[in-house]
Amino acid sequence: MAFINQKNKEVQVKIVYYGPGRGGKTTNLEYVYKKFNHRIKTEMVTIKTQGDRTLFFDFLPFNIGKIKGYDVKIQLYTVPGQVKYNATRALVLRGVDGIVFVADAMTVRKEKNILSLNNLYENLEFYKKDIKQIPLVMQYNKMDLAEQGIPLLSFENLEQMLNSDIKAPAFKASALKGINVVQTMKKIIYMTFISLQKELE
Amino acid sequence: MIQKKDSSVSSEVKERLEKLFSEDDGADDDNLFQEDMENPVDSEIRELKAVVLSIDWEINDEIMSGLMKQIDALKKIYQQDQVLILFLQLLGTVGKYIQQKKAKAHPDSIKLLNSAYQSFEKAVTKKQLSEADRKNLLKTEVNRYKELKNQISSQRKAPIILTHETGEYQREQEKNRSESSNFQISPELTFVMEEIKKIIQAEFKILREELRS
Repeated sequence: MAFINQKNKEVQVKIVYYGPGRGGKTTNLEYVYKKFNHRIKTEMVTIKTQGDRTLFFDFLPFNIGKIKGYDVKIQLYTVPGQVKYNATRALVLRGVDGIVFVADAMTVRKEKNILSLNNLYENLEFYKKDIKQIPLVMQYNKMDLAEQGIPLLSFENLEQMLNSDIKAPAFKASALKGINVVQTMKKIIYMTFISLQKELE
Repeated sequence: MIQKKDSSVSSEVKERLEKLFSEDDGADDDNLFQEDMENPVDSEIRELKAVVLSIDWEINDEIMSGLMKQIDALKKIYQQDQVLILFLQLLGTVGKYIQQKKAKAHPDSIKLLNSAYQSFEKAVTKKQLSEADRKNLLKTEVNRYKELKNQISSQRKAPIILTHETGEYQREQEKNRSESSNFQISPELTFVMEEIKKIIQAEFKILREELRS
């Protein structure tokens, strides 16, 4: 549930990018930060291990201005994708309003995607949230690797494997090249606000 | 064209987002992806490339033995080509080191595996390369390998000051502290540090519970 301060007329929305390790969650945020920093004027905080993996989480806060008289702050988070950091992932999910599931389209990562989605399901359940009810956008990342001859799962295959039950909006993407990164983010923010509409009107 | 002003939250959000994050065309980029490869390469090489890329994401026994298998398969194919055999031996040596050290492998070893693979791919696929060019590619990678070997052996001799995973972060923090006594922590960083504190406490709590049970 978003933090709504009626007195100060302020809304804080928490969006979490979830998915398997090395799937491109951090790259999504980095793209947004690099491309729009001149407009959103913020700092991205990221803590990585020696091997360049996210240790705790990445954090990109920005203000989108006033909506219905409320000052709206968006907080984008990523979670560490590696299996061993589940306590961190669960904690980052606390108070989440919207989720982007960044799946890795590489064929060799098929199982990792499923494991990560199941893990999201379980961690949401802990907070008594239903994966089918919470605003969620699927992003099938690394689609650009087809150009290099890397075996990829098709969009249809990914949809069938990960999204047949949830039926969330889905994007083919390349976080590295910035393809559909912004569309994904806009979509999740938009969907999250739709779910908050009652509270704000 | 003047659009009718919609007062709903959704239209306000849409408007805001468009203003802040408008890109050149704003359209979905679905058509930018190629479904099929333009320049299909030999399937064995493609397989090796996929394995090498996987190592960049995750190192486990299955992936590493896949790499070794793939290298052996290619050695049989290219047994008459001395340069390619040497490339494959180099890939095998680096692969074995990574297999042995796993996550503790020197980060440059994975970079070397990637660059050695790329040079190998060039040596196989670029038919216009002369024998001297191919040898030069190999020489560059062998030199990188030697450099890495030296780095690893000097690392073993150097005293280990920070071994924790967050060493880099801590070093950065130390550097910041010593560089400027007027160092100001931004509110975002303060917030994140608080969150991290909570996370560390929670991780320890879980660990303690696991140890107790």
